[in-house]
Amino acid sequence: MASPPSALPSPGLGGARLEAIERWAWRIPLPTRRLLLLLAVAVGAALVLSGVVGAAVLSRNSDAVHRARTSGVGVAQSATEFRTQLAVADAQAAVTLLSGGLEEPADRAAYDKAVLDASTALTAAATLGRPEDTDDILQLSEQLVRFNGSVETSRANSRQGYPVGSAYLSQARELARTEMVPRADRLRREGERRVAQAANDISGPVSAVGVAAVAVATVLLLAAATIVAGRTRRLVHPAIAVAAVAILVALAVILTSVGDQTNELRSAATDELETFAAANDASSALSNLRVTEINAVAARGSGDALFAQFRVDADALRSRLLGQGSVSLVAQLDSYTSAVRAVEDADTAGDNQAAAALTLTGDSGNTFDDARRAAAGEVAGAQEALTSRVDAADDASRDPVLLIVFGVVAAALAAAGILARARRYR
Amino acid sequence: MRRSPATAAIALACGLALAACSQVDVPERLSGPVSSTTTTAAPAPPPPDCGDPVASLRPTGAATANVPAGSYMAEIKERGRLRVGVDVSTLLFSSVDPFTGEFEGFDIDIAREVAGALFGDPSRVELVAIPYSERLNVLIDGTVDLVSDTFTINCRRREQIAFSSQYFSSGQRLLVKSDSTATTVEELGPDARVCAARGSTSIDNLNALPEPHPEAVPVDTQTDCLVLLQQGLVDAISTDDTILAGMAAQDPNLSIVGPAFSAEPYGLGLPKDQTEWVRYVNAVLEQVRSSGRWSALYERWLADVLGPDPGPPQAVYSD
Repeated sequence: MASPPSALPSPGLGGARLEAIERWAWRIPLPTRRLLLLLAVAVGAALVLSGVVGAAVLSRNSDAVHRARTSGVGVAQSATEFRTQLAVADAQAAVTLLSGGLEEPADRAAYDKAVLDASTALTAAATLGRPEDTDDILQLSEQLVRFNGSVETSRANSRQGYPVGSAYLSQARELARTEMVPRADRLRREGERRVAQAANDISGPVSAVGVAAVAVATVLLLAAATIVAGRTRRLVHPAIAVAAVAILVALAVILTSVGDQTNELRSAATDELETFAAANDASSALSNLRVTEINAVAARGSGDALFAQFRVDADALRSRLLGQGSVSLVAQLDSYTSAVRAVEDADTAGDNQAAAALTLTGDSGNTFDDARRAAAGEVAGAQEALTSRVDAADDASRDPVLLIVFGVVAAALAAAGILARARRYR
Repeated sequence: MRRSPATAAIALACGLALAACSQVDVPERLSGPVSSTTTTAAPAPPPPDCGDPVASLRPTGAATANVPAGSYMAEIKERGRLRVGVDVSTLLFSSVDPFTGEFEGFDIDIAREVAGALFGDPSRVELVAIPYSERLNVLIDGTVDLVSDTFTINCRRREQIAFSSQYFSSGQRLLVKSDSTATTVEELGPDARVCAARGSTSIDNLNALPEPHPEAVPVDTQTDCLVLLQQGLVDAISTDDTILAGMAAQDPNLSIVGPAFSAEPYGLGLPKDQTEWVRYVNAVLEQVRSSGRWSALYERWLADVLGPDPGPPQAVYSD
């Protein structure tokens, strides 16, 4: 068993503490030289290993953020955009019903743009999605072609004065309502699920192991420094102190990276994505209101139930918007619903032609366009916030090489510092 | 208590581990949308016996704008317009001109004749578009005063509403693609799918055919049948030849084939128990028949597709 030297130098500034450390250090039953050699090897290895493990965790988390951005947020955004544009296309196609297939060029252009945007959103989803999304995306793509085909057939028949045109339009709407919207919603929720999953992965056990590895190495280094101080009767060894600083920086890097990524992704999954989806839902609901209004007018005198449905849906949308704090959009919605009341009054009075004119070219159409623009603005704002949040998660990623560098530097310094003291003992 | 850096690091690591326990809820992988399916019609119960279904109430005099006070006709006049339930998509009988937004067709003009007699002005009519399946309901709940919508008179319907005298004779036939070799329902075969409007007598007639017969596919409106036939989702449409004529006019690749396998007498649907109103409407129809107006309307709307004027059907009265 090792024993302390018979004559100790008188304690300096840290005398009392150093004495306590010395007593503790001398309890280890190994000769000082051998003990220091062992400590140099053990601490060096632990620091290098912690750097490698930490780097692996940082690399894995960076990949998780990337996946959350692409197959999570990307797919959810694309699916939501598809659904919104489909609703816009549906509302524009409904104009065909009232205009005999001869809608204004601007209405036709708006329909074409909505279909093109929906198609573009699907392409984006295909690019960003996972293999298991392929079936949904292919189905939506094929259904979009069928939807557009039915609308075009409706338009062509209506232009010839054939009543079958309205049946084709109903078919397109039924396809959108029963097949396309549920599938797009499902794809969106799948994307949201992946973002939440990524947040959980980053804050999960693997990250904890990485942080723990660096923390354990730090503890080992500090313990070794204490032993060295006790055996050598010198409280501070510069190389070991710098090594401690290096590994503490590494610990701070991995902790802040994991913490920030988790917080940002969790927020994206629970706040920004919900806000984005809510903004899109509002936009779709607005388009659906327009479809209900047009159908009510197209019912040629028997649209009472549809006008009643319009009021119920408009009230529900208004409440939802107030809950979301979308005050400006509520104002636009109120203008639109007031205009539709005038349409309903004309229709109820038996003047269906006047009601149709108000819907197509009067206040109703104009206020709807204003509301739709406002809704699109809210969607764009929500999308920007979501993108910023994911960018922040990405920014919180750290280069894994940093951890390796810190680990290796700390290991080299710690080993050098301990070995330098060991050389004094034979 | 003082805390060493190592203790702080351990605390941080533990904090992170605790944070890992507070996870975002992740739902299981979600299931896809459920596809809608077409339903097939249930067999209709046997029709009740009401004697001669086309027999209606005899007019008591000429239909004029002077109507008895307190009568149903006076109620309509007080309202200022006659409310009529019509279809929007039966070309030649009742459809909306997409360019003008106006209703037009044989049934529309018959309704205007009634309004003309009541008000002296055929435009005093409010045309309300209704689906086929709602023709009875709008009369029962009083939404309209009259339904003019290729409405076949039969005993089952007469249990719930009243009918005018017969104003048109139709028969159920088949509409197929022009390249089809089938000319009858039997030739279509038992595996064929034949479309008809839900709530129409055509569905009942198809289901009443001897087994094995083609599958009857019910849809909400007649034009939905045309869409299904054009898309090859059904093999034929079977309904009144008058309605089929309107469909054939919309698609030169379709043909009406075979003989009529049912008689479809059309009457104007009227609210039950309004006997004065039924007699009044029958008086209007008598004037339409005897004045040559009926033949003029036939020439205008139907002669091109249904052939020369067969003359109006004779009214049958029960008293």
